[in-house]
Amino acid sequence: MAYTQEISRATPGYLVILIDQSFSMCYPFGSAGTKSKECAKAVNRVLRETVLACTDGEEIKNSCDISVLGYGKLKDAAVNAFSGALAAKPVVTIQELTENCLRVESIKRKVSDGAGGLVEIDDQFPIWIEPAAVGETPMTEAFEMAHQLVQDWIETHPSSFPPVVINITDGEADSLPTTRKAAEALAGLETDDGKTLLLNAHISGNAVQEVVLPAAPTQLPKGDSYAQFLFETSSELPPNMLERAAASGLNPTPYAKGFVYNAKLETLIQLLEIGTKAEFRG
Amino acid sequence: MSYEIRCFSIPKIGELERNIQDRFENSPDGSLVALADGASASLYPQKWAEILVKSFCQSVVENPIESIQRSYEEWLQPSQEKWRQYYLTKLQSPNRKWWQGGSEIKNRGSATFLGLQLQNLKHFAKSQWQAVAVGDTCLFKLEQETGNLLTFPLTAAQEFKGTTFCFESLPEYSSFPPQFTAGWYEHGDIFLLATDALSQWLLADYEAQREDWKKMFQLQQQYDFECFINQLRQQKLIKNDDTTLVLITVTSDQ
Repeated sequence: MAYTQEISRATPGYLVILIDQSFSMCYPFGSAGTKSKECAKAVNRVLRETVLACTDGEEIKNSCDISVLGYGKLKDAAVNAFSGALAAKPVVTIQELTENCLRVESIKRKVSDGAGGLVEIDDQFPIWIEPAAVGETPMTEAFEMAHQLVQDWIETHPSSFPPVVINITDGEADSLPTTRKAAEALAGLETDDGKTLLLNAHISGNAVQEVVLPAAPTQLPKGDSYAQFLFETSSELPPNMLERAAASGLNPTPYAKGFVYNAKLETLIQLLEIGTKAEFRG
Repeated sequence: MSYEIRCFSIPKIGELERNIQDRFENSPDGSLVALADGASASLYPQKWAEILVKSFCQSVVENPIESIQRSYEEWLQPSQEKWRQYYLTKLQSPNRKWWQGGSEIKNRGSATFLGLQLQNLKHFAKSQWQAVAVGDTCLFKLEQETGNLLTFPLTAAQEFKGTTFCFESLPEYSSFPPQFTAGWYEHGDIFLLATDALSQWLLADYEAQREDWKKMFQLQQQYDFECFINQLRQQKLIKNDDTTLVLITVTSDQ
């Protein structure tokens, strides 16, 4: 049965996040931010939760490798979205991620002292990804770069749970035919435990109807070829992700795809959770 | 009667011995034993498992199982307070790194628990035993007369799932109510306690009417235990997980 391999130090997983950094990502999104800012915030949050899941509070366990690629910031290219000490490392271990954030932001939180009082502590939020909204949408190049990384990774981890690739975009790819080909090639890479999972999150700041985890093209906006394209290139969710989606209240149907369209901020966060929590966080 | 107690443990593949999340304890006279399996996705699970087993085996009341039966939540409170103080000390440490101390969501430890109490009625051939359990750490007893295998709390291999019930390290979060059982034991009986991976394999082997499970009751050395478990792992017959086995053999006082 596919998609059953555990994620551990012995059989680590691989998470790849692709972030659209095209100009339109500077438009409003969420209650007070822009798409690029809210997207960076959501990705930093997911990375933080993934690190915390790989520790019991005392020690970090390298049970997961991570890549974050940005596309649109540098003309016609996809690049490693990490900067600083991780700028030269397109694939990082959890240990490397943990030790090399750009900075840590703190927010005060109160916890019970068990005697009716409260103790104030600092909750710490590391920042790795900075928001960017610059150029076009070279999604083909992003899928191609992810393809190379995933292919190399699978060679050294043939028995692992298949890589999970989450693509966050707000607009149309520069060229649909080449992007489709690149996406299909990426999703065709496989380990002994199954094919690479490609989840697409299309975000929108407009007041339009969301499409969440559709199982059939009939659930898409009529005549919207871009929605059709993203639907067709998204992977069907395996059982553990379906369970996670159901637990978060999304009511997925059988054969639901890992795809949200015209997603609001909360839905983007839910898809990121679905894509990471089931595998990488126990 | 007296008790010969042997404990064997091996970490999951890829982990070190110091990272084993299982914890075992017994009272000096061997009449109280406890085994707990910390949930690795929780916070400071090792510490929580250690607090639980020590609390049971160092119990100042004569019968900790009766205390738990009266109110498992009250019985847990002192242990939860110990864990809370450990947690607060970590949180307030000036050298705390951002990833130490959990988060608003990851703020408690969880562990399965199995406690066994052996009452020693000196002038009787048989004495009573009682057990308490939450989760999938299991007790096995081979009935000498019938050859049947008593199993508690899970009774079938298919009952083992990816997640299980636990005691939580803070009272703000509901711990699952434990189950209880009891029986009689005599000289020559062997009790076997095992964490989930081994328990599941043992039950599956027993259900399939094979005989390998009986070897668990005969193990004497850590080396033999490791060889056996590694072989099961190579054959993919057992889950890759921290694996702990405790054997309690009832011997005569003479």
